[in-house]
Formats: sequence, C-alpha cells, structure tokens
Amino acid sequence: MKKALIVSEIVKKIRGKEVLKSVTFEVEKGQLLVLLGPPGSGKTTLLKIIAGLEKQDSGSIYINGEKVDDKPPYERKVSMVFETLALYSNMTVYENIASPMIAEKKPREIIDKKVKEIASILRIEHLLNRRADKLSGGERQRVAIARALAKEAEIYLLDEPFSNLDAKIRYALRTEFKKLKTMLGKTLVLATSDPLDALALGDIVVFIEKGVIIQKTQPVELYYKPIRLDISRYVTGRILNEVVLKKKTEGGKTIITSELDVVISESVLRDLQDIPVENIILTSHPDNTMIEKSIENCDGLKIRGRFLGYEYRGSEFLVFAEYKNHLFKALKYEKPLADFNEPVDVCIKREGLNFYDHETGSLLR
Amino acid sequence: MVSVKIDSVSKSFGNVQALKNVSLEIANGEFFAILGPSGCGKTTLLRIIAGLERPTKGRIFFDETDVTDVPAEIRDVSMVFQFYALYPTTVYNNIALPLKSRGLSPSQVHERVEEIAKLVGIENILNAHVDRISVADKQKVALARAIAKQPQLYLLDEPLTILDPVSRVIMRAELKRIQKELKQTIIYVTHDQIEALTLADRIAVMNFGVVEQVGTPLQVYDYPETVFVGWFLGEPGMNFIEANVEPDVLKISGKPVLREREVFEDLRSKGYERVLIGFRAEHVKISKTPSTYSNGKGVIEGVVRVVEFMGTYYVVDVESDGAEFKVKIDPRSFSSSSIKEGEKVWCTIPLDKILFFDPNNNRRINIGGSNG
Amino acid sequence: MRDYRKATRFFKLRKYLKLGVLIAIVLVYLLPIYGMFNLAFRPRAEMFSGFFVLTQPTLENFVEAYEYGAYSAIVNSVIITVGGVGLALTLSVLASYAFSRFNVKGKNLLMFYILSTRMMPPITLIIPIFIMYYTIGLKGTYLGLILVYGMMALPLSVWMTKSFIDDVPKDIDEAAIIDGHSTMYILFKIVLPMVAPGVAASAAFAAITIWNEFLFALLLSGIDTKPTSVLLSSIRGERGFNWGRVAAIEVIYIIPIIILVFWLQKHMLRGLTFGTVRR
Repeated sequence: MKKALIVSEIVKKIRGKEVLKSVTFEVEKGQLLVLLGPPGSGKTTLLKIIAGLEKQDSGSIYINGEKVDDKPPYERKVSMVFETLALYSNMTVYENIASPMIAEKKPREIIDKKVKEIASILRIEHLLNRRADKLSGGERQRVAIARALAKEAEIYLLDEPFSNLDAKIRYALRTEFKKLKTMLGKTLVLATSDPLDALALGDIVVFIEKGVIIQKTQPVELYYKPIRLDISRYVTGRILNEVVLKKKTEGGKTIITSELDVVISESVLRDLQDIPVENIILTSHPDNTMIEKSIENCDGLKIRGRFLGYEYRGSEFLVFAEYKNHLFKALKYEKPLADFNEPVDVCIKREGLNFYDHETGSLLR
Repeated sequence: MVSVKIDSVSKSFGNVQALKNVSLEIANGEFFAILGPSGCGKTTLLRIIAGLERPTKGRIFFDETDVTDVPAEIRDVSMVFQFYALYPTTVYNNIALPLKSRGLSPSQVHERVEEIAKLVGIENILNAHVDRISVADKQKVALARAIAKQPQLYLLDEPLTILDPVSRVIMRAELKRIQKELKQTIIYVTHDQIEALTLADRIAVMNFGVVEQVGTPLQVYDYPETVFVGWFLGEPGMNFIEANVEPDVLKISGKPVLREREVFEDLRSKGYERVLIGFRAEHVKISKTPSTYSNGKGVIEGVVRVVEFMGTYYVVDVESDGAEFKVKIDPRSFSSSSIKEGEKVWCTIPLDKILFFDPNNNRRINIGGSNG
Repeated sequence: MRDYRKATRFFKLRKYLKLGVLIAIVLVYLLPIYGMFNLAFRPRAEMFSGFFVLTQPTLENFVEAYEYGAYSAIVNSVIITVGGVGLALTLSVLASYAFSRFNVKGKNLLMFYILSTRMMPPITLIIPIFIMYYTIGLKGTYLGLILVYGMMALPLSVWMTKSFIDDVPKDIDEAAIIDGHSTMYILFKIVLPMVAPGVAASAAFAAITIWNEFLFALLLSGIDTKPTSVLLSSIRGERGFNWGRVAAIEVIYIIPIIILVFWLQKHMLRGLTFGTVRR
C-alpha cells in the first residue's frame, strides 16, 4: 500500500544557514502525524516545502507514491492551514471557504452545497455571511480549517492551528478536531510547538529540533520514555523532576554521590549498578513524585526540602518544594497542608524513573 | 493600600456594550482576580479603574472617595501590562526613575532600588541593559518599576501571558510571595483560570461584560453559580447535560440514570421538570464493566468518541444518545482500564457531585440545604 | 481618605492650557483661508473695508470668474488630475505588487531609481520635455500633461503602495496559490481590496500634487487645456486687479481638494506614518 506522504532527505538552507538537515519520515494514509519542535526548528519551512511553496535544496517529496518535486503547489493535491490563518479578510466566510472551489471553476450549485456542508461540520453556518475580519479567534481558526477542507487533497498540512487562542477554546477546538479527523479519515501533518497538541492528537509524533529529526514515536512513549533529556524537558513543559548523581567505582564498591543529599533506596541502587556512565541524571514526572510533611517509606529517591507553594488546578494541585535551588514538583489530589518554608519530604518513586547520561543527554534505562 | 468599589459601571463603545452594570467591592490588601475569556470586558474594566477610560454610567470609589472624575495620572495607581514597556537603559535606571522623580536623594534611591530588586528577585541583574535580559526578567523589571512608584493600588493586565510555561509557573509563585510581603491591593486580570485559582483571594468571573460570579477560588470552582462559570473553570470544564426530573428518577434522553427522592421532589416542587445537570470530569468513574444506577449513584452508558492524552491525565469524550461529556482519568487508572475509542463504557457519578441548573437562565438551582 | 481635588484642578488647568495653544496654532493656519472666502463674497465697493467686514455678501465675483474662464480651467484641472492619478495608480499597483512579492534581480536598485526621479528638480527636465512634446505634437494636449504628471506621481505611489502591500502577509498569497488562483486574481481580487485604503491615500497625495502643479502646466498646456494654476497666474498684469474675482477663483479651486481630503483623511493619516513604526 502506497504511503500517503514520503519526505526523503530534505535539506534546506536559508541565507547560508542550514534550516533542515536531511529530514526523512513517512506518513500512512489516514494517519495524523504531529511535527513537534520548539519555535525555529524548521517546521514551517518543511510544511511549505511539502506544499510546494518553497523549494528544497536537495531531497524529494513523494505524495501517494508520486514524486512531486517539479510540481507547483496546485498540482500537488495538498491543502494547508497557515499559522497566521491567512484568511481573506475582506471577503465573507462563505467566499473564503468557497475559494478553492472557485479556483477549480466548479459549478455554483456544487460550491454552494459543499460550503454549507463543511460549515455545518465545523459549526460555523451562522457565520457564512460575515466578513472574515469580524470574527473571534476561535471562529477564525474554524474558517481556516473549513477552507482547507473545502479543497480535495491527499494531504492536509496544518501549521500551529491552535496557537493564539485562549486556553479554553484551544482545548475545545482540539477535541473537536480529533473527532473530525476520525470522521473524515484524511491524512494530516500537523506542526506545533505545543507538546499537548502532540500528546492529545498525534497517532505518531516526530520531534524536530534545529532542522534535525530526533525521535519518531507514539505520544505515550514520547512522554514517558523520550530518548533524550531535552525532549523530556520540552514535552513535559518543564515540570520534570531531575536529580543529578555521580557514580564512582572504588575498589570494587560503587559509591553514589549527589549534591542534593539524596537518600537512595535499595532497588534504585541496584538499578544504578548496571549504568556504565559516571554522571547520571534521574528524571521523574510529578505524578510519580510525592511531597509531604513526612514520608516514611520511600522506594526511590528521598530529599528533604522546603515547601514553596502550589498551583491549584481545580481537580488537582501541583505542589512545589525546593532544596539547594532545585525545584521539585508533585501532583496531589487534595489540598496540601504544609506552610510556606516548612520542611517537607520529597519522594521520587522508582516507578517511572528514567536514567539519562548527563553528558550526552541520551536515555540509559 | 486601598479598597476599591465599582458601582454599577457600564461602558459602551459606539453600539457595542463592553460592560453592563458591573458592581464589585475589593477589600484592602486583597489579591483580586478578574477572570474571563477574551472580549469579556475585563481589560476595559481595569482601564476604567485606572482612569484610562471613563465609564458611560456608574462610579468608581477608592476608599469611599469618588474618583470617577479624577484623571489617571492623579489616581496613584501602578499598572503592569501584558507587554512591558521598559526604558532602553539598565535595570537599575528603570527602577530608579520613578524614585528620582519623587525627589529622593541618590543614596535613598539606591537603597530603595536594592530593596525592591531583592523583593522581586532581580538583584543580580541590576547593571544589565534591559535588552539583554530574558522575557521573564523583563516582566520582573516592569513589576519592580511599578512597586517603586509606591502606588495605593496595583493593576496587572495578563502580565504572565507572554512568558513561556516554565517561567510562568515560577513567576506565579513569586507574585504570590511578593503580594504577601507587600500587603497591597492587587487587581489582576487574566483569561487563565489556573492563574486565577492559584493566585487570588477572590475571583470575579466575567463574560460578555457581565460579572457572573464573585467568590473564593474554592467557591467558584466547586459551586459555580452559572453554567458559564462551571464551564470556564477547570480543565476540562464542567459537563452539562439536559435531564428530565421525575418523582424518583432522573432521565437523560429518556433513559433513567439516577434514583433519588428528596432532591428530585424538591426540584419538582420548585417547578423544575427539566434541568441541566452539571458535574466535573474528574468526579466521573469510567469502566468497561456494565453497572446500573441506584440510589444516590448515577450511571450513564455511552460510547467513547475521543481519547486525548494530556501527559498528567487523560480526557475521554463520551457520547450517550446525543449527550456528550468528558471524563478525566489519571494515567495509572487509564492504563489499567485500557479504554479505546469506539468502546462501550459505563460512567458513574455520585449524587453529591452533581449540581442542578435552570435550563432557561443557566443559573444554579439551590437545593434546600446542601450544595453551598 | 485622599483629597484629589486640588491635584485634579491643577491637572485640568494644564490640559486646557495645552488645548489653548493648539487652537491658537490652528487659527493661524486657518486665518488666510478665512480671508480668502471672505474676499470672494465681497462686492467691489467693500473690497478694502477691513479684514473681517462683510456686510453685503454677493455672488458677483463668481459670475465674473465664469466670464474669465475659471470654470473651464477647473474642468481642465479635473481632467488632468484624474488622468494623472489614474495613470500613476494603474502602473504603481502592478509595480508595487511585483516589487513586494517577486524576487526581481536588481530590485533594490530599480526601486531606488524610481524614487530618484523625484529627487531631481523638475526645472531641469522642463526644457527637454518641452522640446520632445513640441516635436511629437503633445504640446497643449491633455495627454501630454497626464503623461508627465503620471510619471511625477509614480514614485511616491509605488513606494506607498508597496509598503501597504508589504503589510499584507505573504501567507495570504500562499493560501491563494494553494487554493489554485492565478497571480492576477490574487492581486486584484484578494490583495488589492485589502490595501484599498492605502491606495486611496496614495491617490489622494498624488491628486494634491498634480492639482497644485504650476511649472509643467504653464509650459505644456495650451489655451484650451490650461488648468486653474495657470489661469490664476495670468490674472496678474491686467488693468484693475480684481481681488474679489481672484478670491472667487481660488475658492472654487480649493473646494474639490478640501472635499477630497476630508473624505480620505483617515487613510491619508495612515499613509503619512507608514514608514515610522516597523513591526
């Protein structure tokens, strides 16, 4: 079965700087691939190259098995939602959605029917006669998506479709979008710098940084066992807990030291035996961490710090503790009872611990 | 430090009514948040308090004194904006300027600058030029400058929106700490409900120019007065489903889901045979094993439409005969139940976690005694 | 409990003072225009009665203006201005779009060249153009003046319009390309409507320049095609300088421009500041 999209060794230089370095990946039909990376990693450039709006320096793009490098954007059968939305602000919503079909010179009745159909799916029928520059943020996003859907294409490219929106609307739109994806069964490539987009929507996530693809995997894997420390930090939005350890072997005995005065449980010590590296960083998510006034049995790493406060998220609390300028976070489902500056125990459980090489940042176990 | 009273303030811009009869009382030394989506009027309200806009109707009082006609420059208010506007010079000079214009001697200025810088946490970059510091630090400088003015009131307009998630979390904790030390009245406008819930002593939730509810974070989260407040607070927001109240059973789309007597009789006696039930996604227990409703325990049968992995939790979108709602599950429970899209599930909600709303005006119905 | 009254009073005083100064400055500018209007409605008898006196307003000056040929001169001004602006707009829209969107080799050089034509004192060009026109037979024709004025207005038009088109994000063009539209469609149906206010502003500036122009009009227009600026200059040297009639012609001359500027002032203001705030 032909792959919907093959990106093969794409290289692109802009003003002498390498923006994309031999990018390669594939997308199956009906899949949603999320291209995740910090701003400036080359995602937009890559999407534009796939669309044909920019030309790569070397490498090829195959859509549905066909090489499209020499084809102009219109012949590639791609549709795109731009980060800036690029709506035709002086035209009505109707005219915006109809635009691709007008260009194809489709008959008026067919255009009318399709526009109304798509508008109803995205729940913007009531806006059809409104000018595009008189819409709210969420409405504009929907119109941009509607216009992209109005074009029959093999691949739909979306560049940061949810940025610039209030958190509430972003979450709602994301769920709707996922429903839409299942319903329409189209092949999608979504570029974003928001890790939540990747986790919530992607079938596959490709992590790209400075034009290089670092990891291609599924969302859950990306969250729990990313192959590099910086990916881990990025994807979790920096709420990762990190402990730096030094491992020395002296006279057949292994000695673990840390500036954080960590108390390490037996099981973790055993895990550390097999690590071949000297400088190790252990990471854990807040849901595998506890911060309490006193923790008796901690199967993992225990640190004594001071209570800094918490973030009230309605259904859960993100609790903060500090020791020697290191910030630790734990997820709690009841209101924390400690006071500001009060001494507390931090227990980073063995379950969910990732061991990273401090020098290279790569995952060890 | 000052108390602020907003008395029946309305504001129109041409045909558009940005604020409709808003009345609020903010106590001395309170950290008061005004929370709402973009366009709800919160920034307009803040500007009216600052004196940058005049209300079309209504008055503003600072400590019982009517300041509606007092120009902004005289109100002695410090404002921190979303986009800091710093002078192109060193951090030190930015903070020192408002002090110098007050006529303080150079040594006094120096002392105050050090004091404020330490409070805000930028004592290490006093000599740096503002162009060279991080965005988070820039906001701190803006804050320090506001503090240097020694105003009677602080107005903050989404000051953390431009920060990256990490800095935002840290700055939030810092703000709370600073407020506690300063003991000043702070009015904080935001669209981020987590920010409001975390920082504020009390929150006013606004929508379309109207204040829907004022209360402590706990109050607005656990006991929303309107459907909007219930939906807006929490991630995901509160679920709302239309239901029919019969003498001893609650029905959704014709199917019974919960049995009870007292509460339903109370509702029916108040004339409510149709209601909106509201419940939070985190209070729903979801399972693939069939179960039935009983006394005080509601069970809705449905199909999983969407599963979203959010890192620290999962959100499952369930559909039941046209009614849709979301369920929040922690990662551990999710893995053990292994729910997939398209599967049939049974969702359990206890009665004490269900709130009832009037479907005509979207307001919460008070059930005799319980539910705040 | 604070008392804001004293501070408020002081503050308001300062504000009114500033307002007073501004009003005074505006009055200084408006005074001559008032004087002109006043003169235009004065009968011969009252001509030297004093600056503000106007006891017997009359229309006789406007009638004399007509007999003098002022109205046909106005018509000529309109024809030449509309023609010149039209030519400049048409060319500048096409050129600006190309400059903004396409990577033409030597683009910057070309743009500077266009601007530089405006830097030359017009007087240096008048002789060659006069000779050229006379030879070709364009002297005294509407077309001749329209061509010259079109070229005169072109540089500013191109620069202003290009700047406005630059402000339209390229993404919009790209979205339209993906939709499948042709370049012409994109320019005229999508981009142009978006910069319409800016184009209107550049048209207004061009119109003002051409309407007021005297040198080329004097040397290149004929008896039938003479615009108002030339007519006004020929009013001198006549026996019995008729101030009223001159004022009447000036009033008629100034009114179309006032209407134009009032109509487009919002857009023109934007046009004046377009280069000052870079995003």
